[in-house]
Amino acid sequence: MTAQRRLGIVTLVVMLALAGWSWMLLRDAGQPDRPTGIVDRSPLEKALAVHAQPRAPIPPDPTNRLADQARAVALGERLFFDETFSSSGTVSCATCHDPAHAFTDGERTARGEAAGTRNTPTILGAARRRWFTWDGRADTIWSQAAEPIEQPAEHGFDRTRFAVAIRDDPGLRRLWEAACGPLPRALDAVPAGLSARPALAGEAAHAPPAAAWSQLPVDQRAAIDAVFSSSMKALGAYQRTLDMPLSAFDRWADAVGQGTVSMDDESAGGIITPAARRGWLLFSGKANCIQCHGGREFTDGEFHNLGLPAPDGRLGGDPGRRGAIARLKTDPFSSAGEFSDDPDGAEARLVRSLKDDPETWGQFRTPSLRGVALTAPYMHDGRFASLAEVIAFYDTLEGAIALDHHREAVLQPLGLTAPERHDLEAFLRALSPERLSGSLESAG
Amino acid sequence: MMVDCPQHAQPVAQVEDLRGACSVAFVKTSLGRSLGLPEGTEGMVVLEEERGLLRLVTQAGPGRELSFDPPLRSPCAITADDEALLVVERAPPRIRIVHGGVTRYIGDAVLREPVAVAAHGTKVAVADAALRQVLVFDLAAQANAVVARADGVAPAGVAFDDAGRLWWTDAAAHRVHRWTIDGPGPGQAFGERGAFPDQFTEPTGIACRDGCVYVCDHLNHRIAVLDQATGRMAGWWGMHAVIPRQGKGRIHYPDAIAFTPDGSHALVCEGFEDRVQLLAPGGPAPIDDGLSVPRDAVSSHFGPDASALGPIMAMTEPETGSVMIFNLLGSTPAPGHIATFGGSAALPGRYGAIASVCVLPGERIAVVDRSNARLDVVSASPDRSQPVAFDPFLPRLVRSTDLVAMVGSVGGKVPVIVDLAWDGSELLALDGANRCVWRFDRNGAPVRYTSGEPKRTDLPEGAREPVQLAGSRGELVVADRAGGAIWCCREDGTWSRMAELGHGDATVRLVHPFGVAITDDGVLAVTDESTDGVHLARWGPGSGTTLVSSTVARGILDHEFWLPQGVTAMRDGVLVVDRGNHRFQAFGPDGTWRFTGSLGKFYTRKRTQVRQNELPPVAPPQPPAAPAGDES
Amino acid sequence: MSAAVRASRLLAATVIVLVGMIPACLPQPSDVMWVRKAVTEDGSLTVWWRVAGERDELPDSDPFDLEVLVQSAEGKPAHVLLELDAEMPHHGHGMNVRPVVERTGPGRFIVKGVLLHMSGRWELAFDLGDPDGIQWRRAQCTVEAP
Repeated sequence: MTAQRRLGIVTLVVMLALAGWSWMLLRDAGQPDRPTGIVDRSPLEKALAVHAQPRAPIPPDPTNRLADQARAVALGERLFFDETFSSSGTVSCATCHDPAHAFTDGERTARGEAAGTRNTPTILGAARRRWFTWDGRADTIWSQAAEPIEQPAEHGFDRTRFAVAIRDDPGLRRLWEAACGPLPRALDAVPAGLSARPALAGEAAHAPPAAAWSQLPVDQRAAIDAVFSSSMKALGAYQRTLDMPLSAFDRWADAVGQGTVSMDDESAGGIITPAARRGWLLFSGKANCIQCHGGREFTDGEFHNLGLPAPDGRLGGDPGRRGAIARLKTDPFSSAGEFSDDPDGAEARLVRSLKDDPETWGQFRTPSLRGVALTAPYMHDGRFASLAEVIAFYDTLEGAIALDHHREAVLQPLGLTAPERHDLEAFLRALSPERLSGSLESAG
Repeated sequence: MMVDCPQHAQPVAQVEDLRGACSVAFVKTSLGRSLGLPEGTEGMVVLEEERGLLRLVTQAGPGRELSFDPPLRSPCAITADDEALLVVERAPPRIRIVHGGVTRYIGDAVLREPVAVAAHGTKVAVADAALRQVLVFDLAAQANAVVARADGVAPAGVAFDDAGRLWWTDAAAHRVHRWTIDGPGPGQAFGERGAFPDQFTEPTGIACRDGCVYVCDHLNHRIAVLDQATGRMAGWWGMHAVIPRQGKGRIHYPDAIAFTPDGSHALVCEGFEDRVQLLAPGGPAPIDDGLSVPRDAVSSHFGPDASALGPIMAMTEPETGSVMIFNLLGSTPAPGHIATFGGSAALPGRYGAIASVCVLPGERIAVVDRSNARLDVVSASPDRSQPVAFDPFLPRLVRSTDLVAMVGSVGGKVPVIVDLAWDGSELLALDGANRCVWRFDRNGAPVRYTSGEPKRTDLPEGAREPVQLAGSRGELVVADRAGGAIWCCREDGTWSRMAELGHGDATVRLVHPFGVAITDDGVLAVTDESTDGVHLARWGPGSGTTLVSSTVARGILDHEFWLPQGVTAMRDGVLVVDRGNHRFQAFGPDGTWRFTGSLGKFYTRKRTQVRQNELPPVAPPQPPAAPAGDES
Repeated sequence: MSAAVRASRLLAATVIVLVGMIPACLPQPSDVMWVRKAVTEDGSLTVWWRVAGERDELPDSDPFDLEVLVQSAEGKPAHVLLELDAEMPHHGHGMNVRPVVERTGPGRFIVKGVLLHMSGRWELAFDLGDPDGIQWRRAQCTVEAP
């Protein structure tokens, strides 16, 4: 080997060794501060691509053993529309979740046995949610149903009369036993007409139904709870069948994803209106609505305080999420509770790890925007009658309480022009299915 | 029993120029007699902490100073019933009881830093900040024994209700406690940190009346009204004063509350504003009342502390539990706001009640918090090859030290760190509970003796209320607010007391010194809350001081002050937190004014007037009197 | 040059190259691919972390678990306490959950139930405590939640 060749080999070896060192140094130097999401498309393209994917099916619910059983669905549908389970005999789940109104009631705030304080959310697509009700006091679609049955302003009923009603109605009993198995024998001893349930939040333990509950034998209480929780699971199974259909927007996103229409095509291929397309660009760009209403379901699934004032312009009195977390953590019907079929699963772990943080005061769940044009009025208290009013609020934040000592600062006035507001509304309308399927509209 | 607590109150009147009005009580005729007042005299007695006196305010207006024999010694809180007046004194720490013309004391040798007092029958309750306890004395017991104690983090206010239950506030735990002293257990606690209903931020003074509890929600700038039966907030009075000197129902850092005997008026002390507001409970909601903060935006409300070193300055925002970082190497002389960190939570890097900040070498900031008793060191080193801009991701927590565990490991009391300072080689932490200065390295790790114990320097016996400190080249200086002096510790460990700066004709007497700083070229800067004074003196090891400049000027123009507090050495001079004006001012080493600033605005040319909406005009200041009975 | 000599030189060169590559691999554990890390400000502790599961990817607004390895500057497992939090400093909020940390071995942890509930830039803070809990150091890094 010549000296030149030898030098060449040594040089090569040294260079390779240095390359090894360099690779390590570069890797280490670059890693800590580099955001790990690789951005190789524009943010708008990326946001739209999310909607070009096939929509995932309704996620499984391991906390509900009946979740996907047809007999449970049938039982749940019967229970959903049955007005027996209310103190006046005139209120069912469908009273507020009316199929003719996209499973809402069109009212500012709900009205069951009495007037409520919050707007009725749709249950279409609810099975895709992480949290239920406006404050997230329930974490599964089946457990959500338990509280309204017993709340005086909603069904005003109780679990004991609920279980006894199933026991004493032969048709309903057959339906129930087909779905859930034989009724527990201890239920036989429960007197008909007895109103009994645990004390509600804030209610005295000596209130009549609560006192009656404490006097019931343990085996009868267990039987009632078993029937009640299984019934809720059947209601959950039925509601899992009620998905929000896809919309024109999804078809446009799919066409863009397939490459048959360009995102820059102002006519949007005729699939959605040009205004709706411009509205999407605003939604995902300047207005940054996707900050909270992002993802396939147009929601982050979590909770925020928008600074909405009470009607008198002062700080509202509804603590929202602040009052819900402690209740959820002790709720026997939660995914982590004694009636869950997966008490150590992922959902249960999430419930146990929730921060009960003072800053959650006044936070409410970010709703999905799918079908939003069908579910007026809007916000947790139904204060805005139209989408235009909602957009006007986000545009100016006029009237919002300045939450100075509260750290979250996501919202900023948008400063939209009138045409931009119009475009945004057009986009939101494009998120709603043209019509709900026949089965949904005729349900019940 | 259901009680209708008044959800609102109407502003009736305000009494101004009550310097550092921090406590108030109503004196009825019967007590007036006992205090030697003219027959038939009734009115409120206001404790003017900055003047160290009690002033009688009647319907005719602010009147005479009450005289006592022996004279008051650094009074900081009062309460009264039909027959007796109780005064908390700090020097020495004890409670003076004036009853039937006779004066006696309780709490000697027990209390360390009493801050509030309440009485009911023979029971006297005292909140003690250094002991972190509420103590209950029974005047009927032998030697006025302590009959009960409750532990807290920073007890700040006490009040008995008609049933004899004690309600007390914990400023650093942001809670209100209800305690049946003779009952089982520690009672119940209500509230959490925050600004929403049923939340408090540093609650202080408290009063009970007719089934309701009234809490000075100090950093929410409101009076919270609680139902005694439930502890739930029924409403709140007032709202945040946006700019200093706003009143008429707008409230700014309320300290104490009391009622007239007929309950027709609440008397609200705001030491920050040197005033007492009279509010009439009841009636409709005044405009804006019930909001979290006013819609017309809040001007910067800095905390009392500031610290600068090299290119970085740090200040605090107590309301949000945050630290603001400023860049001093911008294109203008003004500090540029480049990051904010903190926020309330009991986690490293989050704060419930920031006590102090201190900039360390290498663009690091030390933060000490009373709520979680941690010392954090945070790095904030911007890329200086680029123009430095606001970057919320800039601060990085380097190290967090659990001070309770550290001090507990050597058998010390739970530390109450009130101030931090960098002396050029070590971080000094002034501990009011253990009466010492702890030392840390620039990483926030305790400096230890070879034995392994944390290094400490004990404070002198005579120090009454150490509030801030400064260090340089192995020497340290401690401001003793109630003591009206600064203490200097030389390298040999000997302490000396200075009650005045300068000598000969160029002498200035210290009344309530608060901030101290030492510049690299040996200038000692001292602020004085009581005189609105900022003094610079040349100071050398083993020698006296020579006054370089002294400004004693209450006002709102540049080079005038309203409650000057923290002071820090910075490039070419010092920077003073002009807290009562929500701003800071910088001076050259000879005392020349350089600029005035706050968040988002600053001035390098002196103004002869300020904008109408910036700071309201003020009445000409009255010269403060020296604290009564102070030794010097 | 004989084939044997050539082969031995080639072998020697290969060995040298491999020796040169060794530092690139040293600080990493060998059983999984660790590409994400955070280092304390003083460089004394390194946190290697990955999203548990087959793909080391942050999910879209769903809870996930993190596998964590804490090493000293010498590349040895560090005996520390671990807490994890995350924050969006520009929004002024953190996570809505407090993840559960479980020690799985020397310097190894699994952090269960991390939920970055909004898309955008988050700051992950690994707080590393001395065994007596007095001193804590933080290793932090930013991630982009999808």
